[in-house]
Amino acid sequence: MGLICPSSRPQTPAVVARCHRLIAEMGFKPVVGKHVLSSYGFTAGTDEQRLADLHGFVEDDSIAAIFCLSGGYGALRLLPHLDFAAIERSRKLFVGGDDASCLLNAINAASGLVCLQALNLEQIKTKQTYDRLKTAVTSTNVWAPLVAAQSGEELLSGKHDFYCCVEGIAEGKLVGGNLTAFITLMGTPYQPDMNGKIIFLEDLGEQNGILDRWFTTLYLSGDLQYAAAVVFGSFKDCGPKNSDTMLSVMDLFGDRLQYLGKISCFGLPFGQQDDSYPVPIGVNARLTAAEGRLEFLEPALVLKN
Amino acid sequence: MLKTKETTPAKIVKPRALRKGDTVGIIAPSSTLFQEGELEFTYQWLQKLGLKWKLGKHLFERYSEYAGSDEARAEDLMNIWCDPEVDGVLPLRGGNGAPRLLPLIDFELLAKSPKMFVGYSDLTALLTTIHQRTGLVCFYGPMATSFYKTSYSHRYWTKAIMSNRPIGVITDPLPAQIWKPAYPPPRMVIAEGHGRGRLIGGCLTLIKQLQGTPFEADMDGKIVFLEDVHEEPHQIDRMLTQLLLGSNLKKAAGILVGECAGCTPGESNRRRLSLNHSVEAVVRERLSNLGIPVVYGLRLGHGEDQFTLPLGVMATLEARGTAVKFKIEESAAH
Repeated sequence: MGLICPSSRPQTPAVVARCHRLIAEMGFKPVVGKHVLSSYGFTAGTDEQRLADLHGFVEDDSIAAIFCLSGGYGALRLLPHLDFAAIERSRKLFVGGDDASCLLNAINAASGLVCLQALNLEQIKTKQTYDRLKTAVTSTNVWAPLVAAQSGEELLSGKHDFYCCVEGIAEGKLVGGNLTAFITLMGTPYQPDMNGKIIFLEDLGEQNGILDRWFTTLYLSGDLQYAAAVVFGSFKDCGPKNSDTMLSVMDLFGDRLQYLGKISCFGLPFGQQDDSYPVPIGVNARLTAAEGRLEFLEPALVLKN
Repeated sequence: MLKTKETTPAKIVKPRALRKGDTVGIIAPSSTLFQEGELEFTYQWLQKLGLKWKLGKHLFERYSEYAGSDEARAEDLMNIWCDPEVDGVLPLRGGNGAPRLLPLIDFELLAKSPKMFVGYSDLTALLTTIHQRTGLVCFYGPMATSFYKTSYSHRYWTKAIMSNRPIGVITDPLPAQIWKPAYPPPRMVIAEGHGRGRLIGGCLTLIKQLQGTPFEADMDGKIVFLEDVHEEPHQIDRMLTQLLLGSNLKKAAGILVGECAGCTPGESNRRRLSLNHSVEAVVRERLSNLGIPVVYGLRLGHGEDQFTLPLGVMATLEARGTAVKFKIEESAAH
């Protein structure tokens, strides 16, 4: 497994050491990119250094998959320099989240390769997320569906507040991830086709009003109208921040989803929480909005032939 | 919904300059005031200019951080703009919400009565779109609760909207009587050169927000001005990078990056990254190699001092050594 930092640097070398250990515990052989602890401005080394790590692993036949260690910002800067043809030929699995959403969606759009939107390795801090990531990167079966918490202890914990915005059942390939990072692809050559797809979105630590800006971009572009459905995960540490009057993202996104009659629901267990599930970009899925149920219709991975 | 991209307006329509006795229509297409009394200052300052006012019906409504529902705000915009008694349209303030109105606006109807329209920040969405759809020269500058914030802002504001003469060469605010002036210096040369073109631009967040939509700004061959407030340097990098990847910013004739108040690392209330470049480093790194003049620091946008820029009007930007000349050469109103 190749470990890279396409965006910002992990806070300490201990983070890298811990992630190395996690991958080894899973039974894989971790290889850490040369530049993951480099620093240049707000990124883990210069664009050239981060690209060298990424391309090095793409071209290395002993590497089966490429994991992102941390998020932050910087993946977008790499896109015009990526060798998408080499990535497509390599058929390697890319795993990451947060800022890496723009990288994963650009790779999926350019090559058709399924990429795993997941926690970045440094965010794996619970047995749940560890097990879920391990299963996700090894299972060649169809994954179990993601279901919003609606009963028992999960309901009482209040961790996932499920809300069905527009009822209905829709099928399509999955596209999306972190809203902030995903929207930076808009109007660029790396913008994915959302026509007939299920868009899944989450975010971390952002103000509701700013999230509404990025959702408005999707609405104004027309892409929302032609998507099959929209499903939302967690918006951890998001909120009105310093505004007391600001409504929730359910209200702010919901008004236009209802206007369009777009099948949609909030509160599925993906995103950046300590119990989030990975989501495979490019896999066919079925959303039953009223039940908060996202079923995967095909495996995300195949056995190497 | 349309998927076609808007282009430069084929013809430029100049509004009539406001004069004593005119009426301005005050609306809130974005956010509203928390204290309605702030408008008392606005009335006093409008009176000094000999202007009368008329208020939108939904001015103080609220929906989330917006001044009422999208429908209510759009209705006020259309009604005030099309009111024959109203000579100019003056938003209360920015905030958020103007982009949500774009699908609800009848641009053909607005085009039938070209009017003085001035605003900044979130209003960028309306200014650039109305300009591109109708050809109307719209003004990026202070609005109802900000045109009287400093003498510099006020002077350029009245010069822009109450005169039919060219705004001319832009000068900086007089150095204040303080020992440690605020960063950034007003005219840092990021890239030398000479550029001439029509003006387009506004708040970077908004220009970015509309990229990839039918309301995207066309910057080809133009003098582009960009500014923002309370953003971390990495957010500025993210937005500029998206523009460089997708828009025609690269084909601009010149770029002015404004003061960007409150954008020093760690100063915003946004998510921070541990190792930060400054905005200056970002601007140098992203914009210095485009082969066009780029200047950073001019007092346009969210700072205390703010000059007013007319969209669609010819301007020149010269940057040589440490010398910068920015001139709005054509008249913006008749």
